[in-house]
Amino acid sequence: MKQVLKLGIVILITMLVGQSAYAIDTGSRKTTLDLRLKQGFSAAYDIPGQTTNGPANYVMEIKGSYRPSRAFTFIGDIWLRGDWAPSLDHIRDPDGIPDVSTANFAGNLPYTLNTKESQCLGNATEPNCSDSNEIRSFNDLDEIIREASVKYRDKKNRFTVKLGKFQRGWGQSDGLRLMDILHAQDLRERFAFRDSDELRIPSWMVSMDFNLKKMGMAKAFESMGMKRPVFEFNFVPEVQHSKFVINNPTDGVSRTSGGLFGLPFPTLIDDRSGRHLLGIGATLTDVEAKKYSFSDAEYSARLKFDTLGGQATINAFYGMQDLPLVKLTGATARASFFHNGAVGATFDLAGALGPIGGYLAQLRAGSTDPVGAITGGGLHTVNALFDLDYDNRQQVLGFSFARDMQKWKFGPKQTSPAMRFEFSYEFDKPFNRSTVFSDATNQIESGAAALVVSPKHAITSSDVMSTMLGFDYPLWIPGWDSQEKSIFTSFQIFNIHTSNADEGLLIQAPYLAKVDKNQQFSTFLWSAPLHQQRLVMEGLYIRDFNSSGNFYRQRVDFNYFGKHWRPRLEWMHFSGGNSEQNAAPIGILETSDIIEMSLTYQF
Amino acid sequence: MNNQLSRIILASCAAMSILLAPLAQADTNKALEAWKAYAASSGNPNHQKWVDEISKPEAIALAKEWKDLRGYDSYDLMEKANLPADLKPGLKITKDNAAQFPWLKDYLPAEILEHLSSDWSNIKEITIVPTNTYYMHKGYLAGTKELKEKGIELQINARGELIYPDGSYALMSGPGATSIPFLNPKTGLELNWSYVAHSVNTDTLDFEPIHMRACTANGKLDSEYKADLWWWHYHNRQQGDAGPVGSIDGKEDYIEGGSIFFLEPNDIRGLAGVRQRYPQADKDDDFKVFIPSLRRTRLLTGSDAQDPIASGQELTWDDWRAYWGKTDVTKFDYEIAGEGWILASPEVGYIYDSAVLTDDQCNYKSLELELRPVWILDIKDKTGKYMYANRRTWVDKEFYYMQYHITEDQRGNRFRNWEDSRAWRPTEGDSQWRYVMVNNYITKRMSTLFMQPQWDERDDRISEEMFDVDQLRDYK
Repeated sequence: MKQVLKLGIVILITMLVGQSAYAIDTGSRKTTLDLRLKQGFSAAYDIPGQTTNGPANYVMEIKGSYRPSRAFTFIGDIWLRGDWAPSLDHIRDPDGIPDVSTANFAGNLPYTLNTKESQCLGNATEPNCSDSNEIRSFNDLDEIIREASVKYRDKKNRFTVKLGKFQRGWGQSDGLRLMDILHAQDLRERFAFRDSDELRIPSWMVSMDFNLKKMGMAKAFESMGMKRPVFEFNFVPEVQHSKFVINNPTDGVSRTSGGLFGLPFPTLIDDRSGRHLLGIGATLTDVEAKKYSFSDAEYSARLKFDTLGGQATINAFYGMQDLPLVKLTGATARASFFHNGAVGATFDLAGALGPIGGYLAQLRAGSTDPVGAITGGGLHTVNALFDLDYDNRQQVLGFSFARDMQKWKFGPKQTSPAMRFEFSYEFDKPFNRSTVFSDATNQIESGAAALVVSPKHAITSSDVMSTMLGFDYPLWIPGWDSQEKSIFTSFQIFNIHTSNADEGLLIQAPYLAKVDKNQQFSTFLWSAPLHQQRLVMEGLYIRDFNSSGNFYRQRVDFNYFGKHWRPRLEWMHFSGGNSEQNAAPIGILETSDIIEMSLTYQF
Repeated sequence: MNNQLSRIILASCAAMSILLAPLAQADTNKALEAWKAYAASSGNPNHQKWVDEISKPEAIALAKEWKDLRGYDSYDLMEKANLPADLKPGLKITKDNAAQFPWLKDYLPAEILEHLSSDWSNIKEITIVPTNTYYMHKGYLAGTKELKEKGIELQINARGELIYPDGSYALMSGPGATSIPFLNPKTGLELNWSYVAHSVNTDTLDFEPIHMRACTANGKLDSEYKADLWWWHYHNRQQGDAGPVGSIDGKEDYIEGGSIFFLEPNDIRGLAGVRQRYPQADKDDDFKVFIPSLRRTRLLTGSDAQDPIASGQELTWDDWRAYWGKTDVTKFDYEIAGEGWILASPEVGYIYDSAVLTDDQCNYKSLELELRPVWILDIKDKTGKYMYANRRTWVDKEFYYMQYHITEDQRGNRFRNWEDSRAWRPTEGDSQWRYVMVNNYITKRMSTLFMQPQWDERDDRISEEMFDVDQLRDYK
């Protein structure tokens, strides 16, 4: 009822304001008002054995601004997003929990997503089943407010202060974030494969820019060749972490479903036996930093200046990690073979994993009911209790530089590329280990067994050094005399060096992909406006060299219908390694290919 | 005694008449008289408002000062010209009567003549209005006079750059930064530099907003944008009511800068760009944009000025303000192809719209044109790689700004034209823009720009915020 009420209010406001906007478009120059309504429908065609509805995302957004004078700008932006897909069809997620009837439990009991709550509860034929309330509507007030800010500009242009809830982007990299880390990301709709302004989670914060020249403090910088220095400082008391949904059939608070772009239930494999961890589920609990405080707040600063014919920044970030560490805190056992069965007794998982007759021993001995074997047959599944611990500091220094390479002119129009470079150094980034000493088994464990160990052994840290080099080039095709507009092309190559990778680190637990010493990615973006620039083709390719992951997104915008209507066709294709261990991050969405048609009405 | 008194009175009268004679002459000029007569006959209240504006003493005085500096005005040139007898204010030209005026082809651009009968960008009626006398703002007057009085002769070096005798860039400091370097240009390059130096003829350009519209060849409105747009003259600024005077702090490396913040359509709302020009011939513009979908600033190459500013529009960065191509003798030849007369839109946009569009925005109900004295400047591409093989521009002999241009693509086809009406303030001599026609003769797309120039409080509202994309991102 509460959700319906909120939805109704937003729709009402949207319609009222929308109608008003038509009426007041005589426009006071001091105010602006914009509306966007978007609805998409997609087909998911790459799930084995089924073709079904993919996400049917909707967005309603109203943005307004008021600029009473040069000194002040007020901006308000509210939006309501969600996905109708759970009401349209269900998806049988192939990445469920291990199927006892398959060899080495390598098959999965499918997990039914998107279906209605009533179809899950008490449905014996759908034991692994969850509705997708998490993605139907992102309607918490905090999520609805996208921006509520006021900016003050000093009359003499010495400084500006922006206060409120908003987002700010840093860095020169697209796609992978080196220094663009002021905000956590909302990964619930298309994981990280959306426009970055829709990915960042805005925060309540204060941002200040100081023009050092105007303040009489530029001489020291200018003497070092740093012209027009501007110092930026950000204080973010509202600490956010990235949001995602794991398709987790485990009972209780953890039984969640994020639909096609929910993260799959991890495939947990015992490295020694090669068998999947039958009967082990996971109950997840978020451990977060203090929402508003000085002690856990995020602080960041950037010095921007012109040098060497381009623009450079030196950045520093003292914040919190966006993604969690996974820490075992306990376990419960269930009588059911299914993880959403009745809650059983508290369980000593560490003991049960022990070497003598323990779970792993039973698993490795070929038991088809290893939990039952160690509990005398009364209990069959164990839910490991994991904290998703976000309460960890992130400390990063960075540098970026961009320059028009004017001497490198080539092509039919003798245009030159713009070069972008970005470097970041993160100190002591915490990782879950992929190889760890287990108190329970009293030996070195790897793979999934490494997750179910005491946090004192499971967590380590390493410095991480990331580098990006990119070029943007307006491409005019030789011989294409009627080309109306250049094709914007953008190429980037990344290297991420993790100092202690050889100790065995997981990119992101509980997924078992390991960190390589040097991970390389490249991206290529092209955008070609055709047919009198009304048909806009935009392609994005991402290559993960280490994991042989490929992502391609093709957008086709049909801007034939005036300024209010924007139809779009979008195709997303994912392919990765053939096992989870080497598939991440792109291959983890291997089966999430979609074709989407969306329609936006805007003014 | 009586005789003596009489002689004193007579002498005094004579002296007063001598002293007052120039004032009496300065009360009017031939353009004003022509407009008075025309407004009385047309009965159009817009015309009377224009007369009221150009009748103001400040306007008349400024016109005279410029005439003295140039050595002529339009009417002086008209008196020496052999003009058709029919070519008079009040003449109305339509597709039905155009053939009655065989001289039209010599005065009316061929494209405009064709639009009287074309099925796209059609012009229903053209009305000839009196020729005005145009001039630039007081800062340009002072700068040009100072160069003359101090005997400073600006030069063009081997790289084609405009410099002072000491080799420093003329547009970066001193009187040269706000002046017409060659009042009577002898070469194409000199004419080009006088045209370039005209710049936007105001220290601060402020369009809030500018509407850009493009129509299909079928006469259907196809592409629309709304934006706020600004321009700053960075050095030797003279107009106190338009912002800072002197040079702008922090802009020591640039001549001038333009910026834009898109308001509509919604999907590109917030897209902002700042483009700044270096004086060096071989140094491309500094060009940064803020991309809302990234919420980040992106540096783009300044070498690509041939792309439309916005998709579906005909306006490119090199065509902005009619001509913002970089002067570069290694790439272009600059030639005076002739001089003469052209019929072009009057710069009356400060008072009224001389071009009236049909309701569908894709044709013209009416267009006013006036006779202008011009030099014809050809800018020919030597590389074979530029979008225009030739840009032929009719540069006004009073205003040092173009009255019309037509470009050719590399295959010799007519490409784009430019015809506009400035929002020119007679009392100040400064100007912005009100309306622009840009038609593409290959795709037969008609596009227009309609600007709402703002004049008040520019000194307070327009600041460095607009010329720093990292600040402009939070404009609205």
